[in-house]
Amino acid sequence: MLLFFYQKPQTEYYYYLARDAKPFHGGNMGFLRSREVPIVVSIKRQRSGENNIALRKSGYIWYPSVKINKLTSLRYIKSLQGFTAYISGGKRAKLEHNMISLLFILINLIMLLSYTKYPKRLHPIRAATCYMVSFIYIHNYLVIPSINLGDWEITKRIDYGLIITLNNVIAVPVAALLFIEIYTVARDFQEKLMTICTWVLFMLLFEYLHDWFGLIHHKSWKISWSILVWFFLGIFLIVITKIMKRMMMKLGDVK
Amino acid sequence: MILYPPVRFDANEWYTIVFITLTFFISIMLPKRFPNVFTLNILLFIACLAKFTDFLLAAGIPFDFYDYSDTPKLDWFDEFLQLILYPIVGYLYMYLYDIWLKKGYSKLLFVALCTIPSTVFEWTALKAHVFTYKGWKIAYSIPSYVILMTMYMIFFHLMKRWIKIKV
Repeated sequence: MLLFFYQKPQTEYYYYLARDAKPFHGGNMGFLRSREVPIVVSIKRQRSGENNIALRKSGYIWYPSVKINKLTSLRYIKSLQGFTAYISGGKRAKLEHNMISLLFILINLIMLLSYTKYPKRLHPIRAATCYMVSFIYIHNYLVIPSINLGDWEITKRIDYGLIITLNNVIAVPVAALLFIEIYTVARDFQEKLMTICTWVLFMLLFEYLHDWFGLIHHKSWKISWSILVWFFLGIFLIVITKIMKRMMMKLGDVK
Repeated sequence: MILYPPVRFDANEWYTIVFITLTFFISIMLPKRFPNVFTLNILLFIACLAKFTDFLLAAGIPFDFYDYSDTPKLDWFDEFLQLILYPIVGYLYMYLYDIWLKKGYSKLLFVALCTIPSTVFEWTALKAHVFTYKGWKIAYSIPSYVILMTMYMIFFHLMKRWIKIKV
């Protein structure tokens, strides 16, 4: 019984990690890219005897969420040669992680405020349809490359997962609504083209912000595919709003 | 593969096909009650709720309480369920709700009454292996249906208000 609750006091460890480390059990080491130097920031011991390892790469903290058995993983890490890694208390990592969550919450708030303040021209039903179409589209866009195609990896952290969910519910559909609102007031072809280009660039930046902060990781996904996906959503929304406008015109005799 | 075909064409696939066909024919046979825009938005809203709930509870981002059909991956029949069956069933509920409102019955009673067939439907789907629970219990579905039905009703009233706005 005593042995079960016994925990070793935390000490500083020095380990080695390879630049081209291969995936462990859950494949989370696959997040490391060829030119990145991974550094173990902290190992949190669980009661079950497993460890949560926090890795630092490219200036930010990434937590592989798969619990790696201490003995096998450390033996594995020791067996690799190349890059120095260190283990510390991980307080800074926690702070950085909270900052990332706060940043995304702030982005969501800004998007929501921008939409509420923007002068709206679309009928609420047309706006609702656009919101729902982009909502379904974005959910499939997140699930298909990550679960079916395996081109992405999405964090298993609950708080990051909730941030992704929040982005899917607020940030992305609201950005789509803003795009449609701006597109409908664009006067000529050049303005419309500029709106579409800005939309694609903005969404691309937002998507790669997730990658930069470690919420998702584009493994074999190409940036050109993302451009196509966002461009297609933009065009799809334009078509949907036009169809909806026609349907709304017919609605005149409905009480 | 973007969407996977079913691993085996067995009970869960037949269950989905039979229910889609049945509910589709019922909704077609019923006299038209709502304008097309209204129906389209109701269907989209229910599909959104289905996508959101399953993303939150079953996709593993962040929770993974149950799986659909044969694999944990997204297959054709998952999409049929989320984008066809649930919206049609939801539409039928909204159809009944409109009649219910005209009769002047209690809204709370409607939510309570609709939760029963939804839970029974889920139980039969569970028996047909449409779902595989991984920590989820059917008891958790009852409050979920109450929340979902309330959201359907809120959206229904919102749509009614929006339809009255001059286009």
